[in-house]
Amino acid sequence: MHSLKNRFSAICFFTLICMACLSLFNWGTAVIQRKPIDADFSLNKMSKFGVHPYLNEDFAQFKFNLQSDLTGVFDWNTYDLFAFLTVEYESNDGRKTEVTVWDDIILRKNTKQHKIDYKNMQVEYLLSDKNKELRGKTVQVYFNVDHMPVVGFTQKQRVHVGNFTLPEEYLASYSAKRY
Amino acid sequence: MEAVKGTISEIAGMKMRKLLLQIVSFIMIVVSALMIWKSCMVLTFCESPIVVVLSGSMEPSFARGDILFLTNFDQDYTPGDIVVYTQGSYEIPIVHRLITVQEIEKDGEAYLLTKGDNNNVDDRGLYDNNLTYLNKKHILGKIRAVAPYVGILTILLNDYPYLKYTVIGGMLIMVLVAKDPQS
Repeated sequence: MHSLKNRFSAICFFTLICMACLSLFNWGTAVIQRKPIDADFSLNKMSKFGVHPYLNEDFAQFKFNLQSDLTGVFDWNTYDLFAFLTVEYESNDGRKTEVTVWDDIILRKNTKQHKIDYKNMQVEYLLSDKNKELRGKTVQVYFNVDHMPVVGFTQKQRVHVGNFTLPEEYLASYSAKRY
Repeated sequence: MEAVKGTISEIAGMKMRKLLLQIVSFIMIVVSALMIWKSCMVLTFCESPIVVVLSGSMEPSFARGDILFLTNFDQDYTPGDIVVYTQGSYEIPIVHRLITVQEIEKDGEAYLLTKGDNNNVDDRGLYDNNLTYLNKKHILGKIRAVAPYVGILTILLNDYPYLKYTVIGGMLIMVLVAKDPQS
C-alpha cells in the first residue's frame, strides 16, 4: 500500500500542484502593483546620415539624452525589464516602419540601473530605411518596456516621448565614404 | 454445449489476448498525446505551440530549459516582440527578439530583423543565402507566456543520449509489464 514508489509519486504530484498554484497566484496578483512608465527624450546630435554601401539603404546614426525612472515599474513577477527605444514613421505611401535604435536589460538586483539617465548616448542600432525616404522625414520616438515575467504572460508598455526631423540632405562628410 | 464454452474460455485465457491489450493501451497513450499536441496547433495557429529554450542567447530573461508558449493568430509584429523563426538550412527554431519591422505592403508582408538579447550583433550572420531581412513566412509564432525550468528534462535528454535511451526503454517496459486493472 505505502510502497516507496507510491510515496515518491505522491510527493512529486503534491509538489507540482503546489508550484502550479503558487505560480498562478504570483502571476494573477502582480498586475495590481504596476505603474505607468514615463521618459524624457531629446535628440543631441546627428552624427552620421547617408546611404549604407552594403545594404543600400538610408541610414542615420545619432546621439540622444534619455531619462526615465523605472523603480516602480518592477512588480513581484518581473524577472527583468527590457527597455528599448523605437523610432516610428510612415513611408510616403503610408507603410509603417518601426526601428529599435537602443535597448537595455534592466536587472532587478542592480538598483542603480532602475533610474535611467543617459547623456549624449550613441544609438546601438542604425536607423535604416529600405525605401531610402529618410531625408526630411519627421519621425516619432517611443520608449517601450517589456516585462519579462518569472512565470506567466509577457506584457509591453509604451509611451510617446517626442519626435525629430532628419536633415533634408545627407551629411556631406559621410555620404561618399565607404562603410 | 459444454465443449464450446470450454473452448471459448480457453481462447479468452490465452496469453496472446493479454499482449494485444497491452499493445493497444500503449498505442492509446501515444495517440492521445499526439491528439493534444495537434489540437494545440489548431487552437494557436502555430506549428509548434510550445518550445523549450535550447541556448543562452536570450539570457537573463530566458534560461536554458524554460518553456515558452506561442501563438500565431495575430501576425501584426512590432519591435520588442519575441518570435520563434526558422530559415534556410537551420532546422532548429530560434527564439529571438524583433528589432526592426518595415512593411513592404500596407498591413501585409514586412522586412523583419531579429537579435538575441544576450548577443552583441543582430542575426544577419545567422541568416542563410545572404538574407538581410526575414519575412513573415519564416516566423513560427510570437511568445506569449513563460514557465521557468519546466523543460529542463528535454535539455538533459538532448545532452546525454544514454539517458534518453534509458528513459524510453524504461517507459516501454513499464507499460508492457504493468498489471492491467481489468484482469
